Amino acid sequence: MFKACAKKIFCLLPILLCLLPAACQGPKFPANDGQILRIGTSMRLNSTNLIGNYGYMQFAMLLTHDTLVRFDENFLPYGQLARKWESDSQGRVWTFWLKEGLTWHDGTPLSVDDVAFTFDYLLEKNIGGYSWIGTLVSRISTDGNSITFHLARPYSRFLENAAYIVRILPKHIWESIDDPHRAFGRELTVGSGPYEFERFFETANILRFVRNENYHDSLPKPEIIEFHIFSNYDTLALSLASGNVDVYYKYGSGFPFAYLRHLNDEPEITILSAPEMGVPLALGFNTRTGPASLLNVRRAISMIVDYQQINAIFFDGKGIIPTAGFVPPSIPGFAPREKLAQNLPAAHELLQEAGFVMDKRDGFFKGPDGSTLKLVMVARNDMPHQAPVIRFLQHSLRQAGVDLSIRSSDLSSWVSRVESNDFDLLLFRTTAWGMIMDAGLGTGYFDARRKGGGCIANADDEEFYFLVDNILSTTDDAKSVQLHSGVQDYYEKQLPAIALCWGVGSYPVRNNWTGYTIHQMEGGIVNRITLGSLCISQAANLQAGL
Amino acid sequence: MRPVAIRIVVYVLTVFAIVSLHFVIIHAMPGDPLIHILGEDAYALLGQSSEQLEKVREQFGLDGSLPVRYVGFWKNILQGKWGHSLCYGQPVFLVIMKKLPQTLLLLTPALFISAILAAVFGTLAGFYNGSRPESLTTKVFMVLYSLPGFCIAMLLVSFMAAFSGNIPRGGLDILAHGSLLEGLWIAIKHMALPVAVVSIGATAAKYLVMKSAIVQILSEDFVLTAVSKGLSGWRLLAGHIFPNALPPLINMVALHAGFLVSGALLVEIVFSWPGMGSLIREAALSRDYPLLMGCFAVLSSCVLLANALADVLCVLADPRVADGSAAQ
Repeated sequence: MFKACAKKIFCLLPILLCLLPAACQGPKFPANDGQILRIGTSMRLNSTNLIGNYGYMQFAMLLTHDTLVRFDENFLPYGQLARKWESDSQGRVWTFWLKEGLTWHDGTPLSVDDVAFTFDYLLEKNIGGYSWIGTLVSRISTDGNSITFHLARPYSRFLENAAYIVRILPKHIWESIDDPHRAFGRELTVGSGPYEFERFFETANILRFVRNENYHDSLPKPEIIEFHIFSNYDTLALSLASGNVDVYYKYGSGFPFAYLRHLNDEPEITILSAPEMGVPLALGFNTRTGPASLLNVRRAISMIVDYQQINAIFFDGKGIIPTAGFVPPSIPGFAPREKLAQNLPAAHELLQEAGFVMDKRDGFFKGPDGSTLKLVMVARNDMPHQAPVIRFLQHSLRQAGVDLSIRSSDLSSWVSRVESNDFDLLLFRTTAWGMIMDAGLGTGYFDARRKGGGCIANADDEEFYFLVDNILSTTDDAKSVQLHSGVQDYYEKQLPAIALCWGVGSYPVRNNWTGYTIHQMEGGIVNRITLGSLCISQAANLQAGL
Repeated sequence: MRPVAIRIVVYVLTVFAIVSLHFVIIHAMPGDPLIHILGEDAYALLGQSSEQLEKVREQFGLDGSLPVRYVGFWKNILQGKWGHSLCYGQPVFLVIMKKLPQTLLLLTPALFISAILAAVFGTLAGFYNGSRPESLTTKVFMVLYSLPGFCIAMLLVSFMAAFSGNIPRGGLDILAHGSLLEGLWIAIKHMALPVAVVSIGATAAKYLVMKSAIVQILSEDFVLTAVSKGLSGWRLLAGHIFPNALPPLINMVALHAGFLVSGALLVEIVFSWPGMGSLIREAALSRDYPLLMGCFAVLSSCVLLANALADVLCVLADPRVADGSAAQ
């Protein structure tokens, strides 16, 4: 009898496993009636303090906090809090007139005092990334409904680098906060944007916003926006496929190609795409020391890389073969030129001109002292799409006779190595904002006067400085075009870095909403323009019985 | 058994040594926490001025030499101050207390389920060692033991996606629902898959240990005596064999319990479960020194507490352990 009992217990095991699916029948998500836009994201969120938390700052930019001006998808500025603005001919004095009737989410009127306070507060409290206010802005004055910034030097890009990026804070809330990095509380989320923060369900990883019915501009369509935060892309992709979320958003990133394949065949999903503003994969050179400091070596490496293969394998063939001008076509001021291409014979010739000789015994180039031409490449291991590219590049270079060793580290260690110039090659990426900052065209990454903060800062000659300084000071459009072209000529000539592929961001969206617009400057498919033009699709309406 | 007072002193010294070692190792990690606090672009802008960078570093308490920071750390700890998380901007204690319940919610049921299942199946497998059901069960558990937890998790998630169309994303807010009962029911539904994944791996490990212990005990003389007396079946198993096989199981459960608070990182990632595993990983990647110290302090204390508890339970289960006669 005991044996029979024991047999029954053994049989329990498979029965227990079969019960598992039954236990997992959670509530289905309600059919979308046009009220809630559910956005899946992998962005991390630690707190709802837009100063203390980088992740929440992105959400604030999108939804809750307005800036003086904004840029549309064609990079033309339009007023957000400001109804108009003007500058003097030198770009040293900038005046903005605010719209009438502006209010904060708590009903308090918004005035120029809030704008002036914001700039002063960010500088006074040493908020990271805003120290430039101290060196650029010498004085702020207000007069009625206008605010004037008096700059320490001519600066034509005040709209891009200041008026667009400074989220205006409510003075009546932040003035009493001594330590903004450590502050937390619901009042910190008060802004002037089209959405108000409702709640962060920390344990459920859901961030919810509700529409601000008193917004000063046209109301966006979704009444509620929920960000569903995922720790991995597999479940995010499954959630998109099953309809648990409607769209994917991560600031400055398209959906990873490796996971996109699962969504290609989903009938309810459309994959939208647009060229990215950032360069998702780039190879920087140490132009000061080591073999890569020789121009011929840099040119040779640019001819060893197989750009077609990189595009085919790592970008699913959807990328764009880059030029030596580095700047992608989606950046204002892009000047077309010949695309980069693999040319191994020419690469070998350049290496020989640089004084390296191919040793047929081991297939590697040797320097004048007989040592192997060996380069060290530093890469980040927190960028998932870079890992396979690293191996591919190593293989390509070794096949061509250049030995390459890899040092892969996380972001913090990577920055330390960049700061100490401890590399020959640097695998990096540029963000959309990074391409615009300072003089634009990615100059912020290469200007050696901007050493620090992880910038490669390897362009240190007068020609480059001249171009950058003049872009910042000129307000003449024709001269700007010339200077922009000059920067790209410099990149082509001196090769401080090469783009390995220009990206085309892919954004899977479910068909229950229509009217998406991709706006790379705001980070992708979820942006103010999309929120204003979205509407529930007819098919979804029928399904919901509307 | 050593006097309790001596044991307590030993445990305190152990905690001190562990926390000090953690401090040194964590602060020896290369990299700058400011990058993660400020974000890449802001850090790039701030980095232009080393003066500004140092001011911000001072603001976050990241300046000063290691010995100075070590002394400062212990001064704060002895005053009950755990410090502020660099990334969360909130007190470390608060951050940990938000995540710890999530981990305990996930792993405590898994601990008990795996202990019970392992005890039952391991005992029966050991008792019927060599039989066909035992052979099949052992093979199944060997496979499950070999599979990594995240692999089981992904397989189950994919299976569930095809079966029910409802992806259990893990993590939930019990209080967000109308009634507590409704919240608890939804919690159980959310927990089912992650708990199952963790239980499977833990059960497999304990099953193998339990089975080995039972097989070993079956060869003991007292079992032969019991059988000679006419005992068989449940009476033999439950009355004589199982209690003697308990100490190894208790030790394993205690070890497992001690590491409960470190969470099951990979499972948490698959299910987006905001537990301690994800917190420790995020703190390590962000170089959030105060948060890492807090997490490791909690983890070390729990491991030591669990071991102390295991010592006590072992004595209760097997009195021979108390006077050392088991070793003799």
